[in-house]
Amino acid sequence: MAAPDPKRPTYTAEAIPSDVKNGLFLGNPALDNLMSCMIAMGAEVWATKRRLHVMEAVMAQKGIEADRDRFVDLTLGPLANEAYRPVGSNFPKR
Amino acid sequence: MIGRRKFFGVAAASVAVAHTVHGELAQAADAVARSTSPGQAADAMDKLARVAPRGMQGRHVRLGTLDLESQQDFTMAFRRMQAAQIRKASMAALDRLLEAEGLDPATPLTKDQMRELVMKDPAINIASKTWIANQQVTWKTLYDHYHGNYDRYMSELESADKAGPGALVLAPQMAIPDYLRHEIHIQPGGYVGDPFAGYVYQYGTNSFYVGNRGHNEQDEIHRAAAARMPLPKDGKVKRILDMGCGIGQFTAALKQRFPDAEVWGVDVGGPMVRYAHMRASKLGIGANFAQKLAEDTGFPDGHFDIVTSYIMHHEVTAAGTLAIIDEARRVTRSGGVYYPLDFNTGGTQMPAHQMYGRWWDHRWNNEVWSFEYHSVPFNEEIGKRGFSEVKGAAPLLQGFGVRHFVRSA
Repeated sequence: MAAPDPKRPTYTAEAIPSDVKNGLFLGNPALDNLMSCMIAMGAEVWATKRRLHVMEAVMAQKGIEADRDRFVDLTLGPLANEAYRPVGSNFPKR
Repeated sequence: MIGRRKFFGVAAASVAVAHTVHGELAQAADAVARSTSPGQAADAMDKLARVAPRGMQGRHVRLGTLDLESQQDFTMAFRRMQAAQIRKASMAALDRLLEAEGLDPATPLTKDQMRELVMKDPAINIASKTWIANQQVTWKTLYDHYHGNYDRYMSELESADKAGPGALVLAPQMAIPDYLRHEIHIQPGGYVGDPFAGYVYQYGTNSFYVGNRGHNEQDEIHRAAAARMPLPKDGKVKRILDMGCGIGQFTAALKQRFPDAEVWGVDVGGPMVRYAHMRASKLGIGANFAQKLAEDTGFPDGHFDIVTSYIMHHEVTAAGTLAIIDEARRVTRSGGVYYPLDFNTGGTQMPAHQMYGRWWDHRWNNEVWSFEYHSVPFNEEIGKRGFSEVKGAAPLLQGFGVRHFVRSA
């Protein structure tokens, strides 16, 4: 995270921090932390799932046949090459 | 290969060029337009895709990344589920506690009695913890995004400071009273301490609105309230003041309803009015914004035909509220309308279910002054200060207090 440039005015004043973050609700700080982690993790998992939904929608709209064919041609197309000759015997000597 | 930029970049760029005319983005768009070779164009498009927003839906600027948009989508959905299920379970727990204590649910309780009753109950504490954790994720993801792209968003604000059609007046030397420096709603830095408070507030409250009153991405709720604003009897509306305007959604809605009027929004939060001005400018709305205290606006006596505020009073002290009403009296012309929109006030004792919600909001949503607000007999105090109440008036928003007053001669 870039440090703020002190030359750029921000029109801010010091805030009085809330103490809510220090509240212990579940009897054990580890449990409180785990609950916070679970909800944050939920947001991250959903972000990933939503990205997959977007990709699926884009693929459904645009189609991926052309890209699939390009992929297969690039990776497996060389299997069709029949012009090989051993380089140690009658391969042109240059 | 399916590249995100390939699918989103070009579309976003075209939308961005149409809607945004400031700073880095304008330069990047201009570079695309001036490119004279495919290589130059590709470089310019690459730069534009890095600085352009992801487009707009009406007046809603999409968040800067798909991940951030999805995180907000999650916390909004969690908020709704929490209210419908977890909070409901905590209310059932409250009923069990009342029964165990032999208390009639209709018996008025103080907030101290409520706190003692509920603080150790597991179901209530789960409800509190989950809500707070979700609220923290909402704020933190937004805060991290804006601060992680500090230059981009600071440049956006700076390039809009002098833009029209409305004016912006900032007061960097202003002494901000302590009571206004709290982190309301546990928003990091509150309204005064974070340079990107306006951005963070806008998107954080979008999910609040969806969970509580319906969608507001297009300012639907603010525009509905503005549409119901009563006029002075003589129908003359030349100047309007919106006190504690925050990011200016209500101010802008009033300017749209009264396009020929001079409309001012004032707020103590410099970053809030700065964002309000930028947003209104980009929407082409000529509302004016100034960093000022609602209790000391500096406008001439009798200057305004309508003086209003949108859910401001429950964020200030009782003394602050009375001082603000005095200021409203000073700047409202004879026959002018005063309509401070806010929650119904209900005193400091109320039946258990109501008190549970109110205490909870006060304590865990950091609504520091809400009980001071509820301690003020609001309409009565306004009536003592040079205004007469219009009886039988309709609320600007359902569920809020009816506060239609006219400045006495």
